[in-house]
Amino acid sequence: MAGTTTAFPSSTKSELPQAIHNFTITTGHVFKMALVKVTPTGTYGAATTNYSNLTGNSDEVTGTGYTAGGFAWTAAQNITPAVSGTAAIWSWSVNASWTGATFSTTGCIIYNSSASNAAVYVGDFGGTQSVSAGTLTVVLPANTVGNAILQIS
Amino acid sequence: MMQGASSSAAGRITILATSNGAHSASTWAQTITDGLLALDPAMPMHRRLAAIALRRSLTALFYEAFQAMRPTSTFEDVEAVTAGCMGEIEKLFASTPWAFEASHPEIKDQFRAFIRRNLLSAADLALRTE
Repeated sequence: MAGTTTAFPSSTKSELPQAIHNFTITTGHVFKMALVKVTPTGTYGAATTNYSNLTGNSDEVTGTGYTAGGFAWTAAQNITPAVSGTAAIWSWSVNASWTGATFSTTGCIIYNSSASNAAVYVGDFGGTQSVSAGTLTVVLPANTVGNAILQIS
Repeated sequence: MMQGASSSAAGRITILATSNGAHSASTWAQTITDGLLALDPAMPMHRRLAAIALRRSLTALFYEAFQAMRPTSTFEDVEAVTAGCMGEIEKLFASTPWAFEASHPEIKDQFRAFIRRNLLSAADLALRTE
């Protein structure tokens, strides 16, 4: 069924031990967040492997204030994975945001633009989120065990 | 399965969508409070009441902090406001059931990073929308 489900992509699990992703602050890779349009034709979740899954279905958001490819974090905005208890947690030091925005979206895909656009996160927004001449911010959760946007425990 | 096999998880994000401008200080304040101290329906009543009171105080604190963000705010301004918030948070948590956890250096670092990230977002957005 078409739509978006929050997930840590299965492909990412196999890519981590192959050192395909580097989340290290400053020296690591560049990650981006692309937004999913309302009523997508594709299905996005644990089986999502790449940003091209989104573009291949023409499911990326279009609208004022949104540029294809989405929001880009610099490597300086990576938060290097850290161990907390028995878990590893990591995130980014700023939220993804769009200003002067007029569009609607239902989810997102975070992908590694330094590594062939491999997906590392899929997020469902819990319904349609719309802005008109306004601001849309994806607030990342606290980088703690059980909350961090990305973690291995 | 390998010994020590891992499970992985993807955390929940929050979406702020505001038409005709930037997010208000009250929107940010409520979002940050929710991110730091969620109300668990399974909480015993005495903890739930303490959480409700603490959340009210936190929201007031963050409202002031986000109101202080200006189009001209600098990284240093954000650091100063974050430090001020951390001092107040320590006091607010001191007499609650979460005093011990909140005083742990790792938890304090995580609180600080979360607050700083969102203040930076607010300041950055102000810069780009005014």
